[in-house]
Amino acid sequence: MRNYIIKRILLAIVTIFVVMTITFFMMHAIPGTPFSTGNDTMSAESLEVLMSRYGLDQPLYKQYVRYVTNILKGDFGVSMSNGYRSVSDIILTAFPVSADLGLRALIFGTIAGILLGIEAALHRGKPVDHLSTIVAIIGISVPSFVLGTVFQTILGLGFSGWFKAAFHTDFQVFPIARWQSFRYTLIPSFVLGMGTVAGLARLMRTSMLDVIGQDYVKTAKSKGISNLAIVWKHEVRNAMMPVVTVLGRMIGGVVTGSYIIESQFAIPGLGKYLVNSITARDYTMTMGLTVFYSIFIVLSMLLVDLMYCVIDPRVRITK
Amino acid sequence: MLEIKDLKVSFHTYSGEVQAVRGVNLKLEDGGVLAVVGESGCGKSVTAQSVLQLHDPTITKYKGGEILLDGQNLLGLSDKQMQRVRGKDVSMIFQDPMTSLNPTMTVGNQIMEVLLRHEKTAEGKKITRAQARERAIELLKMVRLPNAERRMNAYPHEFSGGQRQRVMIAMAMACSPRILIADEPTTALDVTVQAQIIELMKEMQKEHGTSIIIISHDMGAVASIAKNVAVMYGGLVVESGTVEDIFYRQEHPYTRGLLDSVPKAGHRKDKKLESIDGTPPDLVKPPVGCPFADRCKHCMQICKDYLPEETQLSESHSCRCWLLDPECPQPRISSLKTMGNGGKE
Amino acid sequence: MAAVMANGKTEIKKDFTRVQRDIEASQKIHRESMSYVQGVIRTLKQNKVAMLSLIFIVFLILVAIFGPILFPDYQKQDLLHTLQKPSKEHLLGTDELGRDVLTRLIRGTRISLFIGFAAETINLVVGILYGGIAGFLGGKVDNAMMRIIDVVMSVPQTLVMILMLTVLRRGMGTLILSLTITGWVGLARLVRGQILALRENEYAVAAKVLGAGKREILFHHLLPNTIGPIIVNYTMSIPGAIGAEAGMSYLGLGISVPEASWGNMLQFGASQFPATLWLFFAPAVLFALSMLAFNLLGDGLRDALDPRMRR
Repeated sequence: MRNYIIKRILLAIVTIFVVMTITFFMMHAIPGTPFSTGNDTMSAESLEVLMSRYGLDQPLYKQYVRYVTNILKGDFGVSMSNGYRSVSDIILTAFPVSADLGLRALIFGTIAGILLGIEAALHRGKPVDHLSTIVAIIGISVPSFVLGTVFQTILGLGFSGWFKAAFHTDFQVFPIARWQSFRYTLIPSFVLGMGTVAGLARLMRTSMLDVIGQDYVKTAKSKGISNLAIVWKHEVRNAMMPVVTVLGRMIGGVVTGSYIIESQFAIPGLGKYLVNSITARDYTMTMGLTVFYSIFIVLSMLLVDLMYCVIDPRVRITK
Repeated sequence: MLEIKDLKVSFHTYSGEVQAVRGVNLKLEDGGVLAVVGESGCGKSVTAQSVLQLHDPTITKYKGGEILLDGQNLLGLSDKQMQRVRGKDVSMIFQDPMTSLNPTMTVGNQIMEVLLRHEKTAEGKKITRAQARERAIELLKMVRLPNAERRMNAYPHEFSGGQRQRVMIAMAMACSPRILIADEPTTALDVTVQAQIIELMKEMQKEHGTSIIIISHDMGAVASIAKNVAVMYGGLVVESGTVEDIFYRQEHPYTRGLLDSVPKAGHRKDKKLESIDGTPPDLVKPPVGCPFADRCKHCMQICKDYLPEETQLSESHSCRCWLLDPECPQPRISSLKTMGNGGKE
Repeated sequence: MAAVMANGKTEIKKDFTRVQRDIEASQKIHRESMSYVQGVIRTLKQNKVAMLSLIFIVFLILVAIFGPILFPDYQKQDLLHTLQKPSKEHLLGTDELGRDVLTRLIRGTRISLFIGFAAETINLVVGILYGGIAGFLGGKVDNAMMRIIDVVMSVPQTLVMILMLTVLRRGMGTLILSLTITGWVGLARLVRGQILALRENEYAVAAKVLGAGKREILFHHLLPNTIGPIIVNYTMSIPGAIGAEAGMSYLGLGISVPEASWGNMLQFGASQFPATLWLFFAPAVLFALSMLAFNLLGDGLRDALDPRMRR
């Protein structure tokens, strides 16, 4: 198991380096300087000052070393469109909001997805099973901004509007923008969690069907264990194992999904900054955030994999 | 006493209704050991698992017959009632000890689970976890697993195949069941380990008075433990009797074939082991006549046309074969010499 | 001794003549036997959902190829008739510049399908080459190549796409490139696994023992078992690529107007929702149906290719 953990950590480190390197060379593939975006009102001297201030006049390898060390120090560069505010600073203020949204979506998605998958497998071919297939296909095939639009309209405008009209109040049941109280989190978390629900429901169903046919389930039955205990202690427990391995990917999905949801629901998270930076052609900000996101995703996947080692006794002992 | 009367079990699969068991009669005396032998697909496992109704209820249909445990028909019980029989009155061990234990649960917990489910204290209360643990350790010692206390917390993959089968036996014996059903308990094990497991089961039978049904495709493996043997073929019992009846006075060509395919002590190397040519019938469309007819060296026209009834040869011995018909001009199997006889037609 | 009556006759004719045993008959498999490929096709044909999906996909492909030839004016603006509701002249209405939505949708079908098929076909080719080399060479080379796959797999694809589309010239070429730069690993892994399994395949050995010819082994046993999962994976990854374009469109990084794609039509429709419903629903329904069709066909194929799932 020790070897496996070391290998896994090494893989994460290499991946982070690869991402940093790609980003670095991408940055240099942009024609002109990072400062020549949009308006060209900058004088030659001030450009030179900026170039030397950010070390852009130095040889490439020195710039690379500097870039990598900066990132490792937690410095992701500056944002051109936010008044040269440092990207790290923006991350510090906006990331907690994103994490909050992401965590809600992930918790909702994981629980709903797993339960739906279990139910579908236990009632194979019955309505629940078809429902889970439909949810899975919608979650996988409909882009989240479309889902977001639909829910904003139906629940946010439609239902809330109806509620207001019916009860003569200004109370909005499902607010569709901003991030203020629990009610504001409902629709965005739901829409963002849909991908997770879909992926996990499908996987959990397959995994459960596989486990249900296993010999040890028959053994449990032959011991006179109640059906409920067989499902939870023997089937679900074992069916969860392969599901845990993809949770890392699910985190990645939620993170990348959050760009769209945040900008659609006007949630002041990091994703919204990313989308804005792309629209504003704020390259340094886009790059800085991309590197930050990549590192975050790689590290969460690492964490999930290490967690799996602890959970599954087979891996714990043999690897 | 367990009695299976005219049991018929079918599975509804995509390729049609598989009539896996087509009217089986078996009897297990208290303290007895009954071996059910036959090739794979003959219905022996299905019969055994029917006692506990372990088949997937969505595709399985018990089409007829009774399974009487002390006169009570188990097929008439509700699922809740069956749960009280399983693991308590009748328990089971399976063929592959590698896959029959839950890989993510400690061995100790798996044994304690069955104890906590069924065992009661003298006052009729459920036993505590500590009591269950103590009892589980005793059980592991009983099946002679070394370091029982320590191995309670181990997971199945940390055990060898033979050790796992011991754990399975400990688990099956946990609530001192009256009947232990062993479905090919030695098939997946090494030859040396096979003997140990059979030995252990004999011990359980002697010391605890447990009756045993042992399912096997190997006549040799069960010879030392069984008191009675039932030979199954094509979803039917073709011959049954005491070990002596089956080994020395067999009347069915299939039983003879099975025995001839077992190497015996003193078997001469230059002599070929007999095998039975062909494959068992497809039970989606079972033959109208004797299921063995197509592979039988003694096949007659009547065998293809009609299924023979059971002929009672003695109090213990019965057989389904047209050769036993009083009008049949052909010699009976028991009058032919064993090994190689009838090898050439 | 009484005999079991097959048809309720009271008396039976006891014919004790010896007959030759019929081992052949006993060995005949009574169930209908058929070749693997026949079985797959039959199972697929029985699966109505998968067949409907297949028909729909074929229809889409035909629209993508011939549609724009028949209706080429997807860029024709009519500023006097902007944002028109569906009518006889414009079956799906017009957009903000008075362009016919149906014509644009047809053009978008060509663009979106092209992106999906092109990107995944490149992934397929690269995957087969890379996975094939790793699988055939094995040993240290395989090990090193697998480590590279491990790294590429953990690079988040969406971020790579954002990065490339931000920095490089936006357009179809870059989009396809960004979809393939990390997209090939899934198929490469699969192909490698299949080839490793092939190399020590039990079917091949068993077929050889039974005296089957090389051709038969290759076409009846090995290829179907190897290609099956690859086809399924290919089918199910196409909607992923089409969906990725739509996601990028939302960020303004997809195919940009005046060119039409499902992604940018959806994006515009969603941004105007619910004021101009038709601008949203037309692309949304077509998009969702296609995603559904590819996924369901993939599911059906997987079931058909796996004999255990056959009905």
